[in-house]
Amino acid sequence: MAAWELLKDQNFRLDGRKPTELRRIETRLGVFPNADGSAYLEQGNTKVLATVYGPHEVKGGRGRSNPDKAVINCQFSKSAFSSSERKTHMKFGRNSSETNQHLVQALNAAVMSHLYARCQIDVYVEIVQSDGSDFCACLNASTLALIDAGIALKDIVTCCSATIVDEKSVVDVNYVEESSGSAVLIVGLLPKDEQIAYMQMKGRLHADHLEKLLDCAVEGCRNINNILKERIGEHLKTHSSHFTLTRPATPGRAERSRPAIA
Amino acid sequence: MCDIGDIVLPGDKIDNFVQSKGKVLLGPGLQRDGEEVIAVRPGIFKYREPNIYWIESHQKRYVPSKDEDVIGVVTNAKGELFKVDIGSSEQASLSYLNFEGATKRNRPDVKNGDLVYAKLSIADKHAECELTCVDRDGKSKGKGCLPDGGFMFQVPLHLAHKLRHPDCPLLKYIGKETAMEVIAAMNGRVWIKSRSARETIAIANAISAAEFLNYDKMKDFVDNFMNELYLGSS
Amino acid sequence: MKETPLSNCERNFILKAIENKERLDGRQSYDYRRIKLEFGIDRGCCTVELGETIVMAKVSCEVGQPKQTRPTEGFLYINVEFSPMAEAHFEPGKQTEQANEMARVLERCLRDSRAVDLESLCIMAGAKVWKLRVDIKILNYDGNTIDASALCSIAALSHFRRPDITVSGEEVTIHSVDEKDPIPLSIHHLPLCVTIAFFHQGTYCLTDPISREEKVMDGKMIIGMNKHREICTLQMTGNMLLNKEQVLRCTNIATVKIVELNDVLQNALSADEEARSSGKPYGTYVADFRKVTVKAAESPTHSMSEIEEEARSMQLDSDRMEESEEEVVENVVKNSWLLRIKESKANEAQKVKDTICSEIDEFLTTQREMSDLQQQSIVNNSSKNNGAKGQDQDAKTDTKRKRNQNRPKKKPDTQSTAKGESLDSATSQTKKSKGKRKGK
Repeated sequence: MAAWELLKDQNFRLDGRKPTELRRIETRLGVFPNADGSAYLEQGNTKVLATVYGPHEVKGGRGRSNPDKAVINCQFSKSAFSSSERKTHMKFGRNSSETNQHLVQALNAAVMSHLYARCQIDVYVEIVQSDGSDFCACLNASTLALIDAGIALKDIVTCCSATIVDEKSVVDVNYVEESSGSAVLIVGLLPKDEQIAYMQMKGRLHADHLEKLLDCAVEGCRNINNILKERIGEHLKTHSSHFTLTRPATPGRAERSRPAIA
Repeated sequence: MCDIGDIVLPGDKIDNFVQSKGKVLLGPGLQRDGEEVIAVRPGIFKYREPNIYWIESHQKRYVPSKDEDVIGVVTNAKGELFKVDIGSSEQASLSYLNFEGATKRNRPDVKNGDLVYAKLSIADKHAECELTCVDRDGKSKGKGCLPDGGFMFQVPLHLAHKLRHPDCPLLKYIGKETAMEVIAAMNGRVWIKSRSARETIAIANAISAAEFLNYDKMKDFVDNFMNELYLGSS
Repeated sequence: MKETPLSNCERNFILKAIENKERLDGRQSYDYRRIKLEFGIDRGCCTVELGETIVMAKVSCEVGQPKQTRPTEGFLYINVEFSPMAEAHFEPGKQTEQANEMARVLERCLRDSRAVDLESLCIMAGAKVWKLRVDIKILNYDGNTIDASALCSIAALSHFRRPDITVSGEEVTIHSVDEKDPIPLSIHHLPLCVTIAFFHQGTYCLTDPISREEKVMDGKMIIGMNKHREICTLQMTGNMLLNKEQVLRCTNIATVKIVELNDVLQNALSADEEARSSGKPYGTYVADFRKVTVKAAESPTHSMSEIEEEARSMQLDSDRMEESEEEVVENVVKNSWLLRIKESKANEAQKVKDTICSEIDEFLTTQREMSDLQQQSIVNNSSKNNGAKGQDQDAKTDTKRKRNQNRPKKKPDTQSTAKGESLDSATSQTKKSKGKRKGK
């Protein structure tokens, strides 16, 4: 489509970013008082909410429980008002069920599920505003929500997308870049050992460019990991001073008295 | 009408029986229909002395029958009764006391997914099948949990019967050339353990390939197969 | 019914065998099973047998309204169904997760990579477009359904012919098959999928896993690629962790396998065209990957040189039932491992034959040259006189010498007798070729 417009002469993208620059990431942990863990994540204009309930009893009887590990159940939902045109997305449609499976796969790589045998962990993700890299934002938000819920994790799963425009790899694609038809690679990484837990590519890409694109996406994941770690650290500092035997929910949350969604 | 060795189809009447002591034993594939005996499965009409008749037909799915030796996979090794899958319509149960040397204090070491070679002590259509790894005297005689390092695969039932038949020389010939342990169970499961993974795979493939071989052709088959195995092994 | 559980013994054995680079059916690590592609009488219907996995695809089309956001594009919709016939424990409607995953992978591979030109499916912009639908049914499940389905669907799409249409103003007439020949779809490239299964925490990998190998694998990587080395889709599934090198190694393996699969596809399509033009209803093509054909890049954990050295793999066929016992035994003998002996002997004999054939070809070409020269000399002698004679006499004597060398021996001479064995075959070759020449 209009790929040539995406990368102008001075190497700036349509939204003014450099090719290896991520969008602004805004995070908030503990947004919902009822959930065991919750998080709100903004990646540029993509806004995602994630909640975690668990570990709790396996729904559907003992037959579905795994005697060795926890069962992770993800439910992905894209609001009708999330894209520029209102469009109802089927919750149990094919795309949603695929995204659910992929989220489960990626989170399974990080969650120490053997510590929660015969339990179920539910992760609900809602896309409130969609502007590209939806899955990446979902996975990052889910990780944050799991951390907020205190579930044991081997590492923080971070996810980043990358695409190739004019033979240059650009990271963290937005909606315009995504829909231009070029190949988009999404990588879910465990940054400590640089192991890829999830990978998906859409579009057509010559095999020679794969390494470049993969490097770019992995670098993006690493940067997101640093940012998230920073934010989690800040969150813990602000809230640790309020730790008492009873739930410290209200004082900490009262500080951010703005509504959860900007 | 139908002679021994003829091909019969379902519905064919059989009436030339040799009666010994006034009794005729009807094996699988033959049913009484009032005064007559008819074949209910397509296959070859067979006879064994003194008075046993049956139809050798092709079947893959096992139907349990009393006193048959089967290989099962343990699906639930908790509690008093182990649940074992024998490839039939229902899972069979195996009491933890039915192992050699097992007492209430000395439980056998059986985990989920283990293979057991057992005998069907109860195989009634009204009751759940029960297995046992010991005979009346409490001896196992080779039954029980199968050791590690083997490989199990499924064959059609008639091949398993053929392998168990005393006249079938296939396993004997293979055994002369290479060291192996083989169990061919009545539910079509064959367990093999040999010196290396390669030999085990080779033997398994050879057995599956010998499904329609006559006894007299088996010697050459095994000779060729063994030459190939030793030629090919590096 | 419940699925038969995989026993620990089988699981451990398969994993141990993979460590020793042995597979249950004797294949090498990167070999595919026997592939059989059969088209149907209807255009757009294809059945693929990959070993014992059987997959069927059918393409159909109808006219519909395009999306508002894309008024000039048609639709390509892929639907996958796991038939309960495929496996004992499959129930209708139960395998939806797996079926969905497959359908999405195939849609990404075929639709999102622009393999099928959707703009060519436009009839009237904004009003009418063709809606293509590929229905895939898994008939027998023995692992690696994705590769089989990808091959099947792209073959069906290439095979399919849509009805011809004429647009006159606002009216669209769809011509039936009798009125006008249906036209093929516009397909830019042929993407195919390769599934690579990982074992032992990613240390070992295999292509084309069978059902039992799939049960013990850590996870798999699905790579969709076309023969121009363009990756159409990449997907990792299962609970495993990979590093960058492993991913790149997979793409190298896939590159090689895609070329093979592409050959299979092209041969099958041309076999079908030939069959149809010669009056048969449809064509079939069978590909047997007996030799190791992978020359993949070196990998740290898997030494390809060993595999290349061995260069043998066998396939056990299981459709022996229909044939009589003798044929069956012969087939059994053919299909069992002992064929390797015959093959190795046959290879030697073949090599000998090849050398003899090449020599015979040389003889024949020289003979042909001689005969041409002879004819020329005859013509020249008849029309001209001494001037030409001188030249031709040399040629004649040359040819005569050669002919004297060759004539008395109808059988090729000492060179071939030294090789002994294939004498008869060599003579039959010469006789055959001489016959051909006479025919000319």
